[in-house]
Amino acid sequence: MTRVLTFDAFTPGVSMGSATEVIDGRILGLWQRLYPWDAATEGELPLGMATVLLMRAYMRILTPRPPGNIHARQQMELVSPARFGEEVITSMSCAGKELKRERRYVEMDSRSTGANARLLFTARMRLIWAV
Amino acid sequence: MDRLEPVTLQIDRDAILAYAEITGDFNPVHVDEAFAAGTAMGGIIAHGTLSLNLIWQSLAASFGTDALNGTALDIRFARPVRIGDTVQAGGQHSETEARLYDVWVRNQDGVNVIEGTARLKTLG
Repeated sequence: MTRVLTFDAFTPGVSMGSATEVIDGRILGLWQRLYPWDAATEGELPLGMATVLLMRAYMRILTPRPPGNIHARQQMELVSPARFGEEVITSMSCAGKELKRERRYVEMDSRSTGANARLLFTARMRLIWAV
Repeated sequence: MDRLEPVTLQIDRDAILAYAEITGDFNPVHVDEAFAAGTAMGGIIAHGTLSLNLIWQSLAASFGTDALNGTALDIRFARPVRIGDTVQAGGQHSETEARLYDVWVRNQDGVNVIEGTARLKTLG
């Protein structure tokens, strides 16, 4: 059994791994039922899908997580929209960690690329880690 | 453009469960009432990015998607969003910088649940 990823496991500057995600018709269909005004255009995914790709990669790279983590802040620079069916590779590294007012903060940097290593977006997530 | 086009979403349990499927994020604070009730949140909260996406949609409705390549968004999740809330994303041109917009998502009480900035690469 794999041990839950705790605050102590994060080391600033250290890579946490990478994950490949593809937005398929099922996920896009769910998105368009939730946000019917936000459709894909000419094969390009809605811009908010960058966040979905980031979160899906986060779920796969940082696992198993303790229950109850909270997303506190997000920075993202969008370079280019991902395309429907495109393989998107997201790599993540620990950007920092701190204990503040009895809360455990973890910062993760990420970089996501699509076909032919085309840069799609970079991001930094700040999370309150549960344990 | 002085103000961004508003985009509104009503948050219900189905929306949260659909978003959990979309992201693969089944953190029990979003989907397990008993677990969530025992946390500092005191009950189920929606995924922060469920509401954050509305800011991208507001920007896209205001400028078109092509104009947003190179846009940098920096936001914090200021308050939880709960089942039954109605949230609306919007923004206003910042007085401090030509390409900068103050952006937010507000609940039905007008309280910011997300706040931050969007810096456009160009002004379209």
